Amino acid sequence: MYRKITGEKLKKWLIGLSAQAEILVPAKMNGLWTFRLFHNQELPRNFLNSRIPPKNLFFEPLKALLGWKAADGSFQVNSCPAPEAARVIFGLKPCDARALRLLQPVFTGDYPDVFYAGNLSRTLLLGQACRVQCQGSFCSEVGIDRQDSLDFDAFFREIPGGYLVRVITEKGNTLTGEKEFFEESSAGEWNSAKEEIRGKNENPLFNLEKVKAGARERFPDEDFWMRVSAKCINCGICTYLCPTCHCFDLCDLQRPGQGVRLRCFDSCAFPDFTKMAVHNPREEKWRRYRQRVSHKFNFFYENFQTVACVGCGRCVAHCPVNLDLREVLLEMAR
Amino acid sequence: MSEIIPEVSKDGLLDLGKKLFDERRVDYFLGYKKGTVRFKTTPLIAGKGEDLQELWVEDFCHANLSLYLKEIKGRVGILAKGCDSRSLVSLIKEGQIKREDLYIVGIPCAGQVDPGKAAKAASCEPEEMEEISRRGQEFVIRANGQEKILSKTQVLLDKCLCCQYPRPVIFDSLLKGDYVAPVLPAARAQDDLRKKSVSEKWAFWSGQFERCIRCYACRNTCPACFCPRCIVEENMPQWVSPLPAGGDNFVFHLMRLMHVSGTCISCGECQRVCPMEIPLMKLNEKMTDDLRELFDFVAGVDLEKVLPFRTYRQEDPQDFIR
Repeated sequence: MYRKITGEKLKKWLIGLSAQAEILVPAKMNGLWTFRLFHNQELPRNFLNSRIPPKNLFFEPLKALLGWKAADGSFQVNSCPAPEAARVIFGLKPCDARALRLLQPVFTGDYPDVFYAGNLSRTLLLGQACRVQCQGSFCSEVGIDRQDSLDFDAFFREIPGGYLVRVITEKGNTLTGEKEFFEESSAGEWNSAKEEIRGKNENPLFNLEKVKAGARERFPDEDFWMRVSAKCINCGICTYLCPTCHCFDLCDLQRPGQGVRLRCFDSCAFPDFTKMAVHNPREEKWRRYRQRVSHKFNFFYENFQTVACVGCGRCVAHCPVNLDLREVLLEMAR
Repeated sequence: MSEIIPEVSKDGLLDLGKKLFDERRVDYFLGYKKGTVRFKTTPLIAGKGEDLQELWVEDFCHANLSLYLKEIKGRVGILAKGCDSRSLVSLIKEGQIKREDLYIVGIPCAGQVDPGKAAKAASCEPEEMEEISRRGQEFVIRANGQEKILSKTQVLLDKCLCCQYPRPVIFDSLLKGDYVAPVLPAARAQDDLRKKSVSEKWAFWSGQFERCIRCYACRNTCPACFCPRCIVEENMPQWVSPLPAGGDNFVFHLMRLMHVSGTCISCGECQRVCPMEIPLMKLNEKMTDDLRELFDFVAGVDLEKVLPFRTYRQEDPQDFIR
């Protein structure tokens, strides 16, 4: 189902929704794009993507899981409640929405995480089509359509004066069904509004099937991993800016008689990530770099039948030493 | 007696590098090669002469290559801008490397471009910039098909605007070129923060450190941070928690600042790589000024003067230690 809305009405619609839900929209904060609480401002038209992926709004970098209290000989553990308050995020990009879907089986499978599941079910995902290829990105190579997506509740595509809307879920249908704001549109109109992506790669950088095969074949090739990881400085930028990385650490903060258990991000790039009492299986840098690439393109694929990379390009654009994942994938595909 | 400087031309650089390998004077050579994203180069770590083919010395040679000396041991040839050479001096003084293990090729630096700053001055997003090029004393920025002329002060990294050591302090040969500071060494404008009250400073840094994601890129890219094991990673006992939250972020950054004082030469790499764009150099510059004013010490400019953390003087300004 397709609809359309003017820019002015979209703003009014979001203002109306803010009575029932928390609304997050792209905004610049300290010079960086991020998703902030909507204050009835104009929606940006030149938003490419946020520096920190919206994954952090679902799988938080710092999250209290439980608290405990011990008083008068009793001991009490209290789980932190799963989030429930309704929320709307507007302006999400197809890559990041795919990442949220990729993480679903991880967080709702064998070990269900009430926080991730709660955050997903309480949030209306409103996507926005890309018009420009982000620096370092390779989204189309990993199978993402920058101008179309089914990973949202509703997907918006900018047209002069407003937006066309592709309604995807029942929740999206109900909320965009208000005649006061939305008009009916058609598949024909939707398809004809598809535009060229500015700055896009002329030819695909690599073939994903070959990358997947290469990831398996290259795994034992130590020389390869040593060579490609030589300039890595073991920082956590690529993992902390990644929309699909999801490794975490647990940390207890204790005070006399009470305490809280927190979850925070952790990174496989850190030497201590796998350090155990007597042994560290990934002491060397090349083993850690191999782990990151293999997890995304080999192990995750084995476990969940999809690669855990959405090609957003954050790790490429922000690596301090320009260690370009695209180059490594290209070599793996050869 | 006039000094004889072994000069090497850009074409000659490749031959020099190969010669160093052939004569077994180096095991590695650290340089730059063209980056895969705009306005960046990438470090080139060569283990043999043939690896040097892609060597590139132009704009965007941001990285302070001496950071790799934490990891790469042995005899190393290295390209060094004026500022980078001060890191080498610091590392020699700290006993991390030996002068005789290094072959230092100084490279002229006309100031390094800060793409984020240039974009701001050109009122566009960094992603919209197609080209940044030098035209005489100015820069031309092409963004969204339009050209804008910007001054050096609008485009270059802040550290380059107060460059006092455009010529490497130590070197074995110099690449041909002009070794002059990119702009006249005008008195540096004092950081506005200095005049603020303690509570205002606290509020400013609380806001900044709130954003820190504890990726440790600042620490890992820092040549002066060479501890094999950082105290933030100790967990028996855990001095600093890994939680990316106000208090621990504060402790991490201020502790790191104290720890690198005297070794930090204000190369600014910590700030350049910070994915959250925290203005860390405001702290380093304050530290640099304090060291100069209180201890008459400038990091990385001579091999003799004792490091402030390694010495004790009766006339030290504070008496808490006596």
